Amino acid sequence: MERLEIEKKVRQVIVSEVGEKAKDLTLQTSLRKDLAVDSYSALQILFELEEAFSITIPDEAIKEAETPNDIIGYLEKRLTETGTSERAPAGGSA
Amino acid sequence: MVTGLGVVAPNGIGVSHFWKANIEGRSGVRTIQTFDLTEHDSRIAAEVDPFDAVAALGPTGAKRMDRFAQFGVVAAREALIDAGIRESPEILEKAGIFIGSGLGGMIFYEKQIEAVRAAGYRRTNPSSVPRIMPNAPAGEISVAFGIRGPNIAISTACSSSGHAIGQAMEAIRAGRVNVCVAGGTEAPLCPLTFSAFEALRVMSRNNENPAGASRPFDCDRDGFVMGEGAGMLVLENEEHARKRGAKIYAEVAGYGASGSAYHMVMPQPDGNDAYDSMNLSLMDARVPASQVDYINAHGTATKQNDTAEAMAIQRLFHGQERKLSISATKSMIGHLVGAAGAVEALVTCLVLQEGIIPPTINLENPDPGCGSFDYTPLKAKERQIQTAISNSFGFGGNNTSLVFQKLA
Repeated sequence: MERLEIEKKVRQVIVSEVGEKAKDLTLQTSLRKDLAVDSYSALQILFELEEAFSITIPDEAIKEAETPNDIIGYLEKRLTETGTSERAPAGGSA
Repeated sequence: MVTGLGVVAPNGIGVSHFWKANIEGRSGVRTIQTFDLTEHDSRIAAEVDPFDAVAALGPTGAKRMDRFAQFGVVAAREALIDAGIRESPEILEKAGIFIGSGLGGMIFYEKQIEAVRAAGYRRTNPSSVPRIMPNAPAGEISVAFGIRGPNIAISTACSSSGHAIGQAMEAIRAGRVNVCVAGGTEAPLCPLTFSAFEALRVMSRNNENPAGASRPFDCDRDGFVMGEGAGMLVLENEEHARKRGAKIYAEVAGYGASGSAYHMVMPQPDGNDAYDSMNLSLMDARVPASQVDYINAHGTATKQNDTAEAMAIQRLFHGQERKLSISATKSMIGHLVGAAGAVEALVTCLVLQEGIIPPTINLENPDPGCGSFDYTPLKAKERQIQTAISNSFGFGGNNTSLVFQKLA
């Protein structure tokens, strides 16, 4: 998957979780300090990234990520390693 | 004292739209639009449409909450604005919340079951618990408006929000809080909940005539029509309300609650349990039965409920057949389950304030087994009301009655 495509999906997931606070989102925005992403929001972001990319992401990966750029870097690496999706996307989750 | 009202109902969102629809006798029942009806014998419901959750709550608010919590927050906001305390953090931080819901976040719950069945339990959404739990609306209302007093959810099936208002009134009487948001919310329209009630054979199958399907106290009734929505009241200590010059709709003068000790899903056939809850509410209000002018009946349009409720009314109000007015809001909006009591309490407050009794629509052929009371058939009636009762009865054998009085 192209980096730009990953970036687009990551932005969508973050914006959908934090809303208005993400209006000036850059790749270097601090998830915790600037967007007030707490441990609960982080779980929701992790869950939605898993849905969006059809992979399983360990909790540590999201805990270690400070910025969208970190998440994108992680996903780029993961998606290159696996090449394709690990699993079919879950249906019906809202 | 009731100092604020808010409502999301199938025949109107917001108190003014809702009240207009009620006095015009407009039904909110239609053929279900929101899910596939192939496997259902009952195909009608009172749906809230249009309801734009994103416009009302923003994209993150809409996403975070299941539909019943969305309704609850929207109705609570209207009630707080109506009471004039939406922007009064010093009042809100000491206020309480008592919210009824009979079922919880069933729409999301069913979707989650489908998702994990398809993809495994590891795919459970981390927001499942705070979306499904019956106190999600109470929690969301607390967060949305900065309300920091007692935060309580009550789940007693179809009497949930009657109990919530009663318990809120008692908290105010006891001096624990001066202000409460009290009411109920429910969004039960998903295949799982719908089929669960269908399996009990308690729902109308009058699919060809949705607006005519909910027929409380009518010979041709064939069960209740399920509905969704929310009703919220701001209750307030009288001195507190007067000091800040609040508009007062009515006084919650009495609260009665009884258990049936009879059956999980059937009322006592002679209406003894309903009699008890009405009688206890009048005793609590210190008002004789002879002073009651109006009853907003539970009136579900099931044979069992209407007959038993009518027998209870007959026993308690014997000799007042010509004086007492009764009407059933469910004829227009169906049965809002845990929100029914709150929306009907709200109607009762408006009856007291406006001097108009909304009709029991579809009451074309009154059931002689329901006595010779004036059930306000078909058309609204102008009448000044001083004292009124709102009844709510629920599965599990829960009965609650609230007495409302107009201030002199």
